[in-house]
Amino acid sequence: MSEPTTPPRGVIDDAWEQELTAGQEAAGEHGDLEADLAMLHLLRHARAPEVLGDEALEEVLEQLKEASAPASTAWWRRRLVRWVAVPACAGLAVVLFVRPGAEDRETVATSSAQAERAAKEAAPLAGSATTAAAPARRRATAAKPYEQQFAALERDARASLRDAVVKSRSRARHEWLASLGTHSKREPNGGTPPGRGGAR
Amino acid sequence: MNHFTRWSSGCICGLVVGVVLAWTMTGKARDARPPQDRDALVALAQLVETEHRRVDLLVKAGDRAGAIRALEQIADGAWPSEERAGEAAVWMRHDVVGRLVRLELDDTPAVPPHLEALLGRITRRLNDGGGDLPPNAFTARLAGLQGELLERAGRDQAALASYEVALDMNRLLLDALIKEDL
Repeated sequence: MSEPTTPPRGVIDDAWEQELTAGQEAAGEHGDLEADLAMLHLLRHARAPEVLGDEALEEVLEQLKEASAPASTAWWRRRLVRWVAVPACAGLAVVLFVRPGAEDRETVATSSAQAERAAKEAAPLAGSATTAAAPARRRATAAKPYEQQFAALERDARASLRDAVVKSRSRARHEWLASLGTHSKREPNGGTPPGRGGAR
Repeated sequence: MNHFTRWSSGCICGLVVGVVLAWTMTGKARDARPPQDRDALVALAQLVETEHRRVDLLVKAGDRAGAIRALEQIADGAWPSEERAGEAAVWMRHDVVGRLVRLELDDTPAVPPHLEALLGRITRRLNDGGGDLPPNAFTARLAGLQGELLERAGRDQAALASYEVALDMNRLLLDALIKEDL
């Protein structure tokens, strides 16, 4: 009956180091065993190469892949972005923002066609005051530079007038409401100020 | 100082400089001086708006004489002073008179029959506010119409002077408009 055989030790089995340490102590020596262990591992592996498990092999391959991959470039430093996307965005911005501004300035210039267009667009204080007078105005616009300029300026001028009236109306309303509040405080019954139309 | 701090501080400085430049370069013609009696201005604006609409309808119906009469009535009617209703009231009157004179001139290719009356009406209105109104489109147009009337009457030197007034005023307004657009 043969003795049961123990499985061969692995290359990096800790038992190698323990036995080496025990032998060193028995000889009355002490010191670093790394060099001896490395030599032992080399000899052991050369005699019977040890195969890595699947998991350990995957891990080593992953580490190799990460270490050997080329350094990635940030997206905003890529050549495609720098030479294509940036000029495209700049061109789009010019088309969207710069060109309409130039057209507006040309509208202000006194070319008769554009002045006529401005006259058509001009919104009067009365809402439709220019609509009926448009043919006559266009006749005059073709004739006199000052009428062309008026056509270009009319919209802003009417807007200023409208603003002045709206401001006045809201201030007047505010003052009336304030006076109403003061009057109510003075009269405990909460009467309305005389002459201001309490039914409003 | 890192890159982001330098970049963001540059942006903020640019923004501030842009705002300051836009603020200082905008030579906007000033708004109308506010009225003392706000109710008067509001009531006047409503009246003028209604009359403009009436004139629109008259012109549309082909009754240009009726439209001229309606504009004459409102232009010569009671009108609150500049002190009471503010400069906007004066501008509204100049607008009404300008429309009236334009209708008269469009009706007559040569010298209008009421030339002196029209000139007198324009001169009176141009003297509103002591003739020292801030530039506005309605007053400039009135001065231009004065020039056109004088030109039709053969008074070329006087017409040139009126045109100059109109063009100077409009130049200021157009400059302000262009600066606003920049």
